Amino acid sequence: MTTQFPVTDGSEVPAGETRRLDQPLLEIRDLQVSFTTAVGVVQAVRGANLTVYPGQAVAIVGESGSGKSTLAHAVIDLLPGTGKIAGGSIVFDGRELVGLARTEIEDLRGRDIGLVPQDPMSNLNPVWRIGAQIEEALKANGFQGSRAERRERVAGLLAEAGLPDAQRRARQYPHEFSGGMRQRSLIAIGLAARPKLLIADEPPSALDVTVQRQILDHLEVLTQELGTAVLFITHDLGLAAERAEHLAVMFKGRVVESGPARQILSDPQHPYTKRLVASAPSLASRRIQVAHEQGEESDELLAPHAGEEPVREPDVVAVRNLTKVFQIRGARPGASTDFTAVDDVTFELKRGSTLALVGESGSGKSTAANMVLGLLDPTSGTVEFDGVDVATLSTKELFAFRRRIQPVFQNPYGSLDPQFSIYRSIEEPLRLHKVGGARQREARVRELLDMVSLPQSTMRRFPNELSGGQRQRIAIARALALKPDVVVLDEAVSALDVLVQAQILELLGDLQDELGLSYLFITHDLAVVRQIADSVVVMQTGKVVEHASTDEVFDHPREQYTRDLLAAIPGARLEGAELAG
Amino acid sequence: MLWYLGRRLLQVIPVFLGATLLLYALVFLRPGDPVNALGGERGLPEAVQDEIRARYNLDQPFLVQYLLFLRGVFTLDFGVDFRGREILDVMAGAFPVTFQLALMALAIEAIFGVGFGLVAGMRKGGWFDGSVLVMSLFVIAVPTFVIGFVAQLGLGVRLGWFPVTAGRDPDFYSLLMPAIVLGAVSFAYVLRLTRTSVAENLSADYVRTARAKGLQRSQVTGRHVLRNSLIPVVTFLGADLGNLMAGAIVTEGIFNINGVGGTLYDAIVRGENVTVVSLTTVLVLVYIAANLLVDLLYAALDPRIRYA
Repeated sequence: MTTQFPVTDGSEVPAGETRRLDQPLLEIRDLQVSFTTAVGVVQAVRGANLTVYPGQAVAIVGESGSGKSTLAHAVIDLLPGTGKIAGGSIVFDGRELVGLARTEIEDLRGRDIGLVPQDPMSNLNPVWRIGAQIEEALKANGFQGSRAERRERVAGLLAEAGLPDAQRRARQYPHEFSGGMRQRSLIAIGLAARPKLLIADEPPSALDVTVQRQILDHLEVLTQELGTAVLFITHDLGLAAERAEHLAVMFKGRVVESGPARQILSDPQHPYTKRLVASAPSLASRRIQVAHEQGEESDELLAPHAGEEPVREPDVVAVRNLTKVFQIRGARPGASTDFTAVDDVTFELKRGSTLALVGESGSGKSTAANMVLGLLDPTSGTVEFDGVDVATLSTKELFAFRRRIQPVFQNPYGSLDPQFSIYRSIEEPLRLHKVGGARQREARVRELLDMVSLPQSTMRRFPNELSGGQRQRIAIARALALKPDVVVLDEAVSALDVLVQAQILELLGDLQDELGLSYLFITHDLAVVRQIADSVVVMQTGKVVEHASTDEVFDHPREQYTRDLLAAIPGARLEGAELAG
Repeated sequence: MLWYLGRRLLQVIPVFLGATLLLYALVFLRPGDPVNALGGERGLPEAVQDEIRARYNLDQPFLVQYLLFLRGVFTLDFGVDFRGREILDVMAGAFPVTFQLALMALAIEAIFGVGFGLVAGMRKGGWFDGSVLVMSLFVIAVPTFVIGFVAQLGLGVRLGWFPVTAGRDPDFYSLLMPAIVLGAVSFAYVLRLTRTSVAENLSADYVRTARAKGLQRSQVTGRHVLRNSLIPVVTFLGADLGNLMAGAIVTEGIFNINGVGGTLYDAIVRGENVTVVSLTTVLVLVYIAANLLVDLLYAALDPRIRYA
């Protein structure tokens, strides 16, 4: 192992941790995991060390590809595909796990080490009832008892995981559950056989923040009561620091730094950890104003100061009383119920500014954005673009309108056609709108790639050769190709790792300054909002609950719902504590 | 669910009417005069021909003929063919044996296709997977009549394991080899479908969750991999029942089975329109019923599918 930086782990007992028993529960030493691919052997974990004591909560933090999930899966021999432990040792409860026979590992799984997997949507088998899936875990781990006793136990476990009306719920199927309920069911499965160690892989990162908070709180209480040690795997430093006493930061297959959570946050040693701590979006971060500050002096001459009557820049987008009602097909023909996805929403987007549309899933924010983009017709209300009602546009005018408002979507993996080269993806809108000749279009593509800080050689490559962050840059370049006035960013950075996310946000800030773009920024992540938005619209179940400037919303939230959202940001409590201390 | 079933059954009516009309029009438009052909080389006197045409309503316009046919269907009186046999009797003689043959072929392809496919999918890339894939490709590539004759010669004549032909009123044993031949191609498809589906499901998140629970490998395979993998296979099998019945003609010919295929072929050659349309209509109905059954099975296998 090549460590230039102090790796503090179990062997040195750091101060401030009192709950410590002598024998480590899990001790990983110099673990090597490799995958065999077509191009050769890839080392996913290279000499990782980690120690977990009974009842302790430890978090492994790192971005995707750092090997954190691989490390956790190696412990219970659930490595995907060609993954193999190439060296090192994993000692659990005094027993060496590397090289154990399959049946012995099977005995260990569930009974001694439980797993709460990452994505609640895909981790429950859709064809079996929830109850049956929990019952299975009981039976597999030697639960002695009659059918009725098992049933009762299942209901008890579900209730314990925080599902009301557990008896009835156990008879339902996964698709009848919300994401939060599924996550709770998975926790019930993970804890069913009362394991000594629970591995929580990216705990509810796929869920809304408020739900995420409730579930993590619950998990914390539960594991403390049961005395279960928890190994969190997460990319979210704030969440890790808040939930675990001990952190291990992984980077490129190695644990580059580990120690008590607070110490790592306040005094990171390794350069990677430093970057991670610095770029973690949080409530304390401010609007990105890199280029802003440079141009401030000249701006001052034009822009009025606060308090004065501002010179009225016309709103580039004005949404008035926007409502969208969907008809949901009923149980029998002819029967249908109305579902109001967007309910009487009004907001304006000022030219050159950023408006954040914030809400949890199902709040109607994406539906509203689709209506602004002209992709969905409103049931009532209007969307005005540059003072013209979009609904009144003819087909030809609508085509011209689309040039001026462009979307960037959430999933950088799904929004680029895998069959198209990068050049073709960026050039397509230009060709569609008959902008320039072939040579001018190529020049424009080169210019756009420069703009999003990608080498021009990228244009001959294909999406699958690029990382998530690079793809999102391509998506932005594609959106900017037609020189739009407005860019609608629908969860554009949500799928990215923090460091990449910070880079993209910075890029967006620069581009806005350079090109005078207006952004409609749709997100569920309030921490990001603080970094990019000038004003915020908070939506809940289709309605606008709060609409104010970003600082106002963050410093003096008026509505309870906004406060809940703010409180639910991972790490919020931590910062609060630091401020208080 | 009842709503759904009712709606699906109502759909049978337009499909039935459309299919029979189309079939009737097609046979009506066929060139040649079957009545004239009855007389062979010497031909029949004009008066006899007219007499026959009148008896079988062949002198009526197309639409009238079609409506008369429909009346026959609903009163279960299909009339007689040129040789004086009741068409209903002809069908009753042909369908049971073909149906038995098709069901046997379906069972063979389902059991062996799913079984082999499961093992191949679990050990994707292994020697079993490789050899089974090559074998299935071979079966798909070689025409049924070649497989049929080779099996007949090899297993029937040389080795004497199976009766060489089935003949009249065949029993289970004498239909076994024809059923294997008939199901061979679909068996290869089922195998490949199952294999892909199983391999895909093996890497599903819920399978990993099941393993993390501490389930044994056999439990994970049976409860979590197999059931989920069967969903696309069932769709294929359902649609295949119709194909097997209609496609049995070659196999029936090779093994001398008096089933739907042979009867239909004779009727087409002789130009007995009513027999042709009647037999085909029953096949259409079998097809519809099989598809309905598949959709219901689908809902049983996958609770996410709810019909409303």
